[in-house]
Amino acid sequence: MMTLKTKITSWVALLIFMVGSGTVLAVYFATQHTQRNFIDTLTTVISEERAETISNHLDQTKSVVEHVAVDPEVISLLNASGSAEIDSHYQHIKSKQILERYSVRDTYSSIYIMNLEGLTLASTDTTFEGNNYGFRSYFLQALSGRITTSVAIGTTSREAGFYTSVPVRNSQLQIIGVAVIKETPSIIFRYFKNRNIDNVTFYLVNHQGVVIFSSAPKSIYKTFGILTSQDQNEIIQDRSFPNVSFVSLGYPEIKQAIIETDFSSIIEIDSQINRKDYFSIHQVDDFNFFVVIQRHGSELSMLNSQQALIITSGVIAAILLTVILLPLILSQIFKPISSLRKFAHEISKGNLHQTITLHTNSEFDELAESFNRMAKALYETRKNIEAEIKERTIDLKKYQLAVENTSDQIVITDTNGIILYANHAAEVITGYTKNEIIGQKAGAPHLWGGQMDKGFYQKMWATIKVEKQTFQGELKNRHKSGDLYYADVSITPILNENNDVVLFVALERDITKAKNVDRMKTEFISLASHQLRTPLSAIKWFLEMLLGGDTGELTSEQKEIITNIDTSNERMIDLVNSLLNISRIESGRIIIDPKPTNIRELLDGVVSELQPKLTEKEQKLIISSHNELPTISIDDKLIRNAFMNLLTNAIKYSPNGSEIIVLLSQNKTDIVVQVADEGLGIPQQDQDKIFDKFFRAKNVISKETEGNGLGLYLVKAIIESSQGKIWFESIENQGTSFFFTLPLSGSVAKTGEVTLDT
Amino acid sequence: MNNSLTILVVEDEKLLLEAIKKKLSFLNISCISASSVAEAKQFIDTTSSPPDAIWLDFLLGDGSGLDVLEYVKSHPVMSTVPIFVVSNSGSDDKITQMLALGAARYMVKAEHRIEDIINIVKEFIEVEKEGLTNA
Repeated sequence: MMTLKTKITSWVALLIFMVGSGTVLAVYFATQHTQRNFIDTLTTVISEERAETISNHLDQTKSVVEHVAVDPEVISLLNASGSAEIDSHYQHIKSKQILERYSVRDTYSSIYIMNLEGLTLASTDTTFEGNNYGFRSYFLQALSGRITTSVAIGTTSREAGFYTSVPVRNSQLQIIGVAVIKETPSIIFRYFKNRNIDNVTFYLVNHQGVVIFSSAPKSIYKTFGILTSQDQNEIIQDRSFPNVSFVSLGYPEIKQAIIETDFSSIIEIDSQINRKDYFSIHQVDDFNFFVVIQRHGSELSMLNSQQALIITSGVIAAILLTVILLPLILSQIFKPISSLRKFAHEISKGNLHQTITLHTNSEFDELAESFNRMAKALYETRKNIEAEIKERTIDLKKYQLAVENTSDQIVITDTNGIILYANHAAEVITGYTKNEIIGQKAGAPHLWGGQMDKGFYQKMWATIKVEKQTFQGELKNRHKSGDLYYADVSITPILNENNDVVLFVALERDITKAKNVDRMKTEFISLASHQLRTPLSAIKWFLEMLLGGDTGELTSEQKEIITNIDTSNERMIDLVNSLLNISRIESGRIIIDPKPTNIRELLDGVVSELQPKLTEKEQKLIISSHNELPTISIDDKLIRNAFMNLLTNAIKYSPNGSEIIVLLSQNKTDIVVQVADEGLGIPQQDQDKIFDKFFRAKNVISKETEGNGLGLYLVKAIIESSQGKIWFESIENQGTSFFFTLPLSGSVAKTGEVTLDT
Repeated sequence: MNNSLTILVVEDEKLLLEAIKKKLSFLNISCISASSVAEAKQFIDTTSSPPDAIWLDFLLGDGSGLDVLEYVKSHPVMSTVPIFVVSNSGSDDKITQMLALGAARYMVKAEHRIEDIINIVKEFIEVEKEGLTNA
């Protein structure tokens, strides 16, 4: 890992490197450009100036020789040359004297006059006299009327010189000879030498590219480019460079420029690899000479590399300084960060009590303050959480203890029914220890389960796992000892936020004892009721004989008393019957034996049985039935009992002459029965208890002594055991409507031991 | 009223038997009583003239009405005598069994007056007789 300091330093160094490199390159190119421009200008100016100086010099020489050409003495000399007295000594001396008058410069090595044949008639240098230089181009040029200056090596003196020739004309302007000044090139040397510049070489070149003079003496009589055959012919004829074998300097571009007289630009020539030479060429005005200035490339590149070196050093120095100094500066900046980091580290270790104070006079101070506030807030939060955890732990322990020690068996399983937890009651109820239970499948046959039929367990799993509903039921289990026991079970799936089952919680209560007590109670009632019936029957039958007059006529008083006894006895019989029926239904031993039944016919049967009572009270019973009620599969004995009870109540609790209406209808799933009367109604406060065992509404108790509070309880039990529903609507003193439904699909058959007494 | 009716009453409860006998005598119906299965069987075995009907209780001291019913139904002479089970108990399947074995009716004592029972018996006998006459 790189520290921030290292990173920033690296980046800044890299940045300086890039900027520095860019600057070096920019400076390099800019310098090069400027320098080049400067040197170009310099070169051009120098060459121009050189050319002008030479031109001026040669012009002066030209004007001198022109004066020579128009000297009357010279003309007369030449006019006379055709005559016999050409060699006259006098004339010769005179001519020499005349010519020497023109030798105004010490550089004039010779001034001489030639006749039309090229013979030197007179000369300041006497060695020239009598010699014929008719082959020289300056002579030939002058003969054709031109004034020229050319360079050649003297055939006599063996010294190089400028030959400026002018034609000499007589009064008729006919060319009669040629006047020549030969000038030593020392003056040119002087010019060049005095203005010597480093890295620059000066050349004076003739029209053939031959270097006549140069600041580099080695270059003299070498050529730019190669001499053409015409050049060579010219040189041979002219004998201008006798005994010189021409070596080329190269640079054919220069020769080309001379031929084309194009000197507008600096000529750039790659002289060597990575080295360029720059040439500037100027023609010496009106003369066939050219000043060539060569600037050597090394001069420029050396100059640039020096600069580059300086700049690069600067850049490297800057980078080094950055690398050394920046970390020092940064560590000053990062000092508070480091403190904050240490502080945060302490906080992460849970040391929330500390504070941090910085004196940087920067944002770091505020940051430190924020850190302090954060630490404080964290401390508060932790304190609260700890308190809450403590509280919850106490709560949790409480719940744990409650769950562990409750008398009901509590088992928690995973989604596959594998037991994760079992409380103490589970051990007591099942007889297995927790170690034997946990990790096993709840209710597995090798534990306490498997005592019910397959359908029971299938329904149980479907309810809790598929429907995700609580399953409630009663089941038979086997204790570890082998004893069977009954348990009320309630299994609830625990769902997560996605409605997936995550756990099952099974609550079981051993109801064997309660069941036994209940069974004993039921059996007792059943037995007692049977036993009661015998004496009741005896009373009934003896009273029958007394009332029937079998033992003689009774007095009206006797008859009244015995009738009261009989009524009471009948009530007793009724009560016993009801108790018997209830004990049968509650014991679950009742048989439900559904057979296809026409409910209308069943109702008609009940009504005809009740007809005496209806007649007695002058009540009208109206049956309104749906046209095509289907026969449904029901236990007719049970439903008959329900009708009987409901209609008996309607008759009993309705005033004389009232109407009782029975409606039989059907909807998609059920047959719906409504029994409506205009009777006493059920007081509002008693309505929720009306189906309770032995309950009788307050208003009927006061008005009708007969009744045991078991009728509606029994009806409800019958309807519900036939998969129907029962409810009512009632307004006190206006009447009551009882409704019950019976499923079109029919009641489910149930095997059992007893039926109801009717 | 046909005064020549004779009914065999099998009832182990003395008071009930007394009530029945008394009522039958008031109605001028001959009553042969038996208070146990054994007595009933003995009568059936020894009598030369079968009764017009048998009034049979279900729970008897030494057995049940079922024993008597089966005995009568298997008897060559007595098998056609109509049997009326008059009981205070008896589970449904037993009642069904009795009716299946040929009991004419099954009645709960406390629910019926004696006269009503006798009327049912009489009616039954008369209907049978008419049937026989018509045939």
